[in-house]
Amino acid sequence: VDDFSRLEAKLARLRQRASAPGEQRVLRGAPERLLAGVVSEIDETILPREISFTHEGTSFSIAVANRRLQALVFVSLSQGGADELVGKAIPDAEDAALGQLRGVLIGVLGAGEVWSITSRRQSGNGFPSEIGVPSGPLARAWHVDPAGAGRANPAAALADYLGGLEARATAWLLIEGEEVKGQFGPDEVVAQLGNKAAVFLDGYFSKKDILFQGETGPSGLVFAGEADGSAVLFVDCDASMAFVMSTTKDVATLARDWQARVAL
Amino acid sequence: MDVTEVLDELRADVEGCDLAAFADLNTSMILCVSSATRHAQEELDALTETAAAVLDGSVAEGAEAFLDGSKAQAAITMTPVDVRVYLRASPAQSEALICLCAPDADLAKVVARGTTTLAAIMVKA
Repeated sequence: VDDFSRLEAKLARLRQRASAPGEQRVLRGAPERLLAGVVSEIDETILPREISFTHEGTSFSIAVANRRLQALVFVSLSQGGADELVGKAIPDAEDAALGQLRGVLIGVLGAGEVWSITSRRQSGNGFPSEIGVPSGPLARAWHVDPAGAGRANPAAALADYLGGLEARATAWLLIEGEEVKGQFGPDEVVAQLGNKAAVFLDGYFSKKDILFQGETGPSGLVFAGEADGSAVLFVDCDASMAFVMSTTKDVATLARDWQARVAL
Repeated sequence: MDVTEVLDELRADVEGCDLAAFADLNTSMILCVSSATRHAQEELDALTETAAAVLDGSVAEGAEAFLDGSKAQAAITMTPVDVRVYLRASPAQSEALICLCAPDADLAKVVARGTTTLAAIMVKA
């Protein structure tokens, strides 16, 4: 991701926020997904800030500057040695406290699925700006992909997404260029899926321009029938695309999981 | 409670829902809208055009093969900047509900809450 693409992504995100004034910024998901969101917040923070994450009565704050995690500032739950981490600067990715902090945050983030985010200037003199773990090494040390990282390489994100679906999908088909590069599910269902995909793509390409209103980047479509019937998720990343067969009951959750990888 | 108030309630209940609209697919017209921000008429027209394409048009027809030959009751378009949920009242009816939401919106909740909202509106109609 070059500097311009980072700027463009940031602007797009700001425009999205601007379209809903008063809407609180939030992170949603399971603890691992939330932790990825925390890393993304760090990645987007240049000026020295104290960023707070709150779910109902549970909260924690981190000191961030220059896209670096500097320290845990506050945590409302005393968990896994959290007390000894509070206020302690983390100088670099080699610091043993970094792994401990991951455990603390995963534990705290387990308190809920929806966390609000607020940011303010660091109190006092803060930490020296060169102190802290940059977002890239931090993501590697914590074994997370920053939220939205799929934007950088959507084709790889799609392959990874499909690989993680397992039995949550009835069947899926991954197409790269004009070749089927991957598949999952009973042979008969997969074969039918290929035929259905060919029929669908005719109509799709004839209307693609009006479906996404000029928006670029990875796009998706969901179609669901009756309450207990079949449903399909279609993802288009230009060079690669996928069809995922599921049920009306489950397809919205599958679609949301894909969006978590690419949403700005 | 009138239709606008029902749509307002839906938006208040679904986090990240910026716009909810009640539309007619046959005429491609928005009949009623509730929105956090002002949307240009062209944008509303584009929403109904897309709704007709994914619930009734050639894209919808192509999707029927995945749905055992039945018409889609719900369709969703997704991009990195937003998601748009389109729900139809029934296969025989042309009324639809459209929701424009944040890209990370809880889609299962939007669909569930939107379906009950549309049913409530159709009872009043």
